[in-house]
Amino acid sequence: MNDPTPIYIDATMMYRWKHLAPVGIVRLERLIASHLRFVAGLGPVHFILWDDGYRLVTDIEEGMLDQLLDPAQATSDPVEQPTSEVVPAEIMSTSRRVLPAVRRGAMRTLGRLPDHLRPFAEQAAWAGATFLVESGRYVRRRRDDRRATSPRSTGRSVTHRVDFSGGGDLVALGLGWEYLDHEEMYRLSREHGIRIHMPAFDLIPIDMPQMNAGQSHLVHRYYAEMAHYADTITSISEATTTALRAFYEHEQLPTPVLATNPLPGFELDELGASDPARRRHRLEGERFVLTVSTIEIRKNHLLLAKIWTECAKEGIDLPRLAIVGRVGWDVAELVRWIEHAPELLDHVEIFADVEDEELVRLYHDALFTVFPSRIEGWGLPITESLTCGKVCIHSTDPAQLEASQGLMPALHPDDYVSWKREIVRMSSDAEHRVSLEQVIRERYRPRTPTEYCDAYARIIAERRGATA
Amino acid sequence: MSTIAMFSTYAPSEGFGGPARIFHARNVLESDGHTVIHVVIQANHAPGDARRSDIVRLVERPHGAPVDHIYADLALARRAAADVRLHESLITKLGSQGVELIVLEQPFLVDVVERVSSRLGVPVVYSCHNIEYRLLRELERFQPDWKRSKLCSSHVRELEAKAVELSVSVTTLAETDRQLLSDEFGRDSTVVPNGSALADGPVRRWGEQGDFAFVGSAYWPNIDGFARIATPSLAFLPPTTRIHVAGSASHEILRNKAIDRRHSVNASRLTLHGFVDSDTLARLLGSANAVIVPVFIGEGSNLKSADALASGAPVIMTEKATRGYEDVIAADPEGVAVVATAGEFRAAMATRVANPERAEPVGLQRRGQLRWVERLAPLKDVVRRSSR
Repeated sequence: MNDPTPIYIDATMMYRWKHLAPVGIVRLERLIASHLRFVAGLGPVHFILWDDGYRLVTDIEEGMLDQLLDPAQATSDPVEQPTSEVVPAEIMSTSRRVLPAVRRGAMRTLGRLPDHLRPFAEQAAWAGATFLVESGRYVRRRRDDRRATSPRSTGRSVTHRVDFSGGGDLVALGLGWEYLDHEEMYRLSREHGIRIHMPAFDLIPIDMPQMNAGQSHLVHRYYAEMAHYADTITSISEATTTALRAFYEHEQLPTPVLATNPLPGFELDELGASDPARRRHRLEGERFVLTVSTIEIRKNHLLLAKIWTECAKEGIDLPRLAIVGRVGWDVAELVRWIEHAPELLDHVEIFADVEDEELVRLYHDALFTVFPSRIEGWGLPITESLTCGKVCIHSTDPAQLEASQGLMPALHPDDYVSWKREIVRMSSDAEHRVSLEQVIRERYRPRTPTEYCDAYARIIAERRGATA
Repeated sequence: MSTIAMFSTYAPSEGFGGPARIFHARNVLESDGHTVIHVVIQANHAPGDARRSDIVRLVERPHGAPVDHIYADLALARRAAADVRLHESLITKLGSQGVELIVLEQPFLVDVVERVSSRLGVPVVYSCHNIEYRLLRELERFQPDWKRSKLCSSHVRELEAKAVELSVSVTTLAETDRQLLSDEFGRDSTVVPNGSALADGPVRRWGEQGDFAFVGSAYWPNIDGFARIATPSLAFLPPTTRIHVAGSASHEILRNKAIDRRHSVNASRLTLHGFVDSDTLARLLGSANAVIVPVFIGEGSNLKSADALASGAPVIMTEKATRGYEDVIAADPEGVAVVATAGEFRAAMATRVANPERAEPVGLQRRGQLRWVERLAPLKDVVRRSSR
């Protein structure tokens, strides 16, 4: 299994999101990267960043990534990391010797801080480190630009670009359509024989562009270009693999090797759980139904707003509806309903600032969850809900059926009457709800992150073996 | 030797299309000892390469009158037919120049020509570029207009019938047109095909060859043809491959709905050059892995096919695009791939990307045949036969 050629992990999105709470894709990216780096034992692993072409990470950046990818959170026993052999000697500088010690000291200091101060201190430390890295890079670039004008510098390489001439595998995990240069990827594949492993989350901007604000062209190009350079495309669901296959057939393009690796059940972080003085969540003591997702037209929240309104008019006492998620696009009508419909006042509310630790408590205390989204690549809120043992009423979209393993009530996203009936029943019929929770306990078998990561590593390893 | 008045709705120009044909026709006829006067009757002032001895007259569109681009020449023809002062001035001027023969390019100015020729008593040669009414009817779908009369194409047919009837000789661009004209109007014609100015220049292949070249005007069939090969998208070409687009098609190509639908990937495969001079054009075509001529409808002057065939580069073209050049391709098919459908066209392009052609020029024999002097030679006979 151990191939001496390196594995390059494109850590661009992870690095860009270093100061932000990770969304689903970024969380997944960190999980896989951590596993490939610390566990899988596929060969030497190097993080690279997209910066007008791929470059190696600097020491400070590597330190930041190490923090993001805590080996303690890796999904199996870590393997010893090989020393980097591709880093040019000139950047194995003093910083490489000094910075790990500085980093360890900083981590010790941070570890002594109270829980509620630690995130702020980490952000401040990272911001300072980032400033140093970026300003250093700026100074180097200016210096290199000046040298480039002198005749002596002709032909001298001044960057620390990745030397791909030794071949190997490139694993891209993040939101590639936002930054990847497809020409460069094609050249890597053709000129250096790099095997490129790409992810596929969904094809919604292509298949239902009316649901996505302007990403259709980019995402279309992303998947279309992969036909020319991707060795494998690993989808997060069978539904996405099916959509991909249909896409390549419709576009009359060659289909790369497609693999499906269904998402695992995620354990949401429960930071600060040990602090008894803190409220558990903002709806503590209330009876509520939860729906979690970005608030955008595709997620179909309007259906819920209308059901809650009609039930209020009819005197049906539904629990409060908590809509948790960032407010996205094309939801003006939904916001109008929530802000102006008198029946929804104090009964339906959007919470856009919920962090993971509060979210997991909301899941645990919710009566049940609802997810009427029209189309998904997977349906992570369903997985989260079921992982927390909560019933989720979701749509009949194939990806959502995969996520719930067909165990939960599934209704067509436009079937208003059935949704209303099921929500009313689930709210009022405790026996029905409990029986479904029993089904979850007995039959729901989420994949573990270890299974998921092992499968991902296996897909890469098989391809390495097949083309070696 | 005769003095010939050549009537057209556009001025001669070396560049492209119908204007290039009359530009070279003038050269050929003058090299044969004739004197050629271009009579250009147009709606907008675009004198092209007209000389001082030529007659350029504006018959402007009334202020605020709607424009129907497909039938703009028909509207111009109606205004010109009703302009008595224009007729009188032309009769006076051409009479004083001793004009002995009129060549009518396309049928639109037939009413003006009829009046002038009858007053001056000179014969007319009708230079038919295609069966115009059918072509325009086919083009209507590109600019649907509910205000457009259903009779527009019938009116064009009437003009064509009149032109055929008025003329002592008729010329067509291709053997297929000769047959169509015979079937439609019962009149035989002489084939005087188009050529390429590139055939007169040096032939060479430049630099790295890996990309495609497409040259065309913004004429609807050019854009439509390109859109067909760009559907579902141009992603069938590798990310590093480019199609270099020259001519006014550059300005319209990304506005086409089908192409814009996949804007990101399509635009990534295109390098738009706009209008280029003839040296740049020769270099662009000579650098190409293949020159593409994706024309699936319409029957224009088809000069882009001649340029492609004379470029020295391999050519991928549709059956439709070979119209008028069947003999040339039959004589020297080297490097020419003729396909029937958009799917075959895309496959031919993909094959060329996978197997780039040698760097040596191809089709040297057909280049010789495509020189304007060779192609327009039959026109000299027609003129000789038709002059009074």
